[in-house]
Amino acid sequence: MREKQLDELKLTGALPSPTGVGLAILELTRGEDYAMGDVTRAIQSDPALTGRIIKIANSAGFAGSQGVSSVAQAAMRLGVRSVRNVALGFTLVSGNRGGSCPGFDYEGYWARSLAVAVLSQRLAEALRLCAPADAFTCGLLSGIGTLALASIHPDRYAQLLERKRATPAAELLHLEREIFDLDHCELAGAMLADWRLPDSFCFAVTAFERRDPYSGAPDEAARRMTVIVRAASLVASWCFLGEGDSEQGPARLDELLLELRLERDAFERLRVEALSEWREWGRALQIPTDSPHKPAEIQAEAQRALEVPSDTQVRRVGTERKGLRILAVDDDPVSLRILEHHLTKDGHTVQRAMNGRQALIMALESSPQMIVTDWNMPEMDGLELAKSLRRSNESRGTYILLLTGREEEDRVVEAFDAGGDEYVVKPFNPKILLARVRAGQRMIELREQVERDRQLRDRQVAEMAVLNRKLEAAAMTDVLTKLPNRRYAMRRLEDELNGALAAGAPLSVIMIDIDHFKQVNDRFGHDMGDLVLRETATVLRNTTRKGDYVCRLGGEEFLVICTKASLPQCAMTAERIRAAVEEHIIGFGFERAVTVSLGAASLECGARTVDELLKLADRRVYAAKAAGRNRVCSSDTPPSQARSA
Amino acid sequence: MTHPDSDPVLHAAALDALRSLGDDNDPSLLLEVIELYLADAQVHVRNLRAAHAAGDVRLLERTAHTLKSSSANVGALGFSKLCLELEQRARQEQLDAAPSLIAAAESQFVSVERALRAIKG
Repeated sequence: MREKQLDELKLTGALPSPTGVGLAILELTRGEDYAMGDVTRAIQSDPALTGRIIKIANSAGFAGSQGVSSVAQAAMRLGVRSVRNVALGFTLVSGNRGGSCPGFDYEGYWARSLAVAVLSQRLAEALRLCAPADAFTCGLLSGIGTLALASIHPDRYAQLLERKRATPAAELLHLEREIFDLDHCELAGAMLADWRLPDSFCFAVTAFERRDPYSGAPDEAARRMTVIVRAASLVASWCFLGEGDSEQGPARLDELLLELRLERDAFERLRVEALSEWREWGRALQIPTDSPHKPAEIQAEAQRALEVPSDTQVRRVGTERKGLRILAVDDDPVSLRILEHHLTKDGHTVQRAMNGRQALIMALESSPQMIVTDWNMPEMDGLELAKSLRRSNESRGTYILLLTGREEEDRVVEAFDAGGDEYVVKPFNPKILLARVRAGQRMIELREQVERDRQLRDRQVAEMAVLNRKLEAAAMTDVLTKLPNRRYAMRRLEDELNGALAAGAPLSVIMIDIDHFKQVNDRFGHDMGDLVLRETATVLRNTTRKGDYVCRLGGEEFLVICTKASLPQCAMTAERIRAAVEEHIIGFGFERAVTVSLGAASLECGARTVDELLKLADRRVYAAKAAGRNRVCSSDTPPSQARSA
Repeated sequence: MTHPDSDPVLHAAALDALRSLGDDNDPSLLLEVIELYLADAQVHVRNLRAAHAAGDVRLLERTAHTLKSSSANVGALGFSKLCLELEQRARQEQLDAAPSLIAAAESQFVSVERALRAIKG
């Protein structure tokens, strides 16, 4: 894929991209070597991500003698690179839950990605082809190209999916190329490369869906990763998701196993383990892992393989009217059972608590959206429960509906003061209770929408801040030498000068000019000129004090701001720099040293403004040059005498 | 003062409402509720006398309150009314009539229990 094409797509702002912690991790690991501490700290700032990393490290593929309980331990076991990649993969999952492409099944997409991830990990472990954590990440991101296309072109991709449904024989990749001039495999490869994931990942996601997946693999690692992801994707389709032709599935599975040289028994074990792991991930990430279109035979088999309790059904995040997660509280088991019955029948998911104290614990643990509680209960009554819930940050947004007896009806004001949102008098008419619950649901959904918008805004603000910092740093940094630039130097000097004048403290500057730089450029070319500038910058950086600011003013001109330094101190620094530059042999084909002429000036010399100080220093550089170069001038007396050493 | 004898032990309309709850989704709801009620209420009825004997007015009030609500749920409205009266007396700490109310509640509960067991079959 053309790099420019990806850049253009990135500019649309619609490409799935890591946010928050993911962005921080990407930033921290831009270079080749990065510290384990930085990565683990970034991950730890997100408790959910921390849990997932630890879960991966503890999964059977990496079982060591001891369990892993921290990100740092996980990084030791998996390697900091794998941890980085897994973390990045997951911030993409949580950041792109839904979207605006009408025909795209976002939940189905993530369910599939997780299935491929888990299967890739298990296959990598069984076949010993690559690191299981890497396989997990590569599998997780293997289909990211479809998500990206759906995000960038929501309507056109929806049309494409419609066409695909109408003519199932048409190839998705072909249709994509026809309409977008690129397919999701190409796009995925480019995106993974952009996120600095290993080349083997990039090749695998580009190749695994093609007819001839292994041709053009750059190396063995890429080929192996492709084998894993391709097999995981096929097994996910046939065995987990019930996609494709279920008649042909079993025959082709045998072929695949033969190709992988994987025994049937070993595969069955792997499949059962992966299936249970997939469901576990689905529950943890609240992504449904029960396909409604699963062929009956496979479904029955899956059921036998794994007992899934019915109350662990994952909440759907679809658009259809869905029930609330409600905690029902009553000390009378009969009333509680009847209450549960009504709520369940109306489509809600109900937890039960027998008293206020139990309800409080359950509410803090599972954050129900609504609590329907009896008022009059022993131990902790409904009012106290409401008050306690309102004190906790977790449950401040929970909607509380109180059931009041006739005797409490004239005290309902207290219920609202305690934090209740609504009340229904007992014995209640079920229709009225359910109508009030639905009214509450509208309120809850509105509140949740506001909260989602707020989170989105927070995220955008955070990303904007990162961007601003980067822009600001870029605007203040010289690209070639990575030293602060003229703009920074002037601002800094202004601040330091005002501070020094106010405090009566000394302040000095050294202006530095590389001797005969024009000849270097003319004789050796601009590349050598750039090299000399970079090397000189390094010498300057290494020979100045901690409180000094070394900046590149432009061309071959540098400035050192020496805070709290008198003229003699500053002149000594200047001389140290002069000697160091003279001694530093620049290699890389240049194989010689350059020299510099330096002018030192100080507030002591009578300068009162930035301009005066710089003019003075500039004049002394000129004097140093006139006196034969490679020397320091720090006074207005003839420079031949000023040369020290 | 109410006369429980003038009411049927189980109120037909309330019981029908409960029966109609048990639909295809939850066919055994009525039986389950009766089971829950009997297990719970037996303990509470015993507690009425014990609370009174111990002079624990609050416990008496609480117990009567709980019995009042749950009995209404299964259609035992006469029994529920007795419990309401007992609850109110206890709240006002007027315990003169308590022994006779407790005795009446106990005997009424025997009828309620018999009637409910008959439904369960």
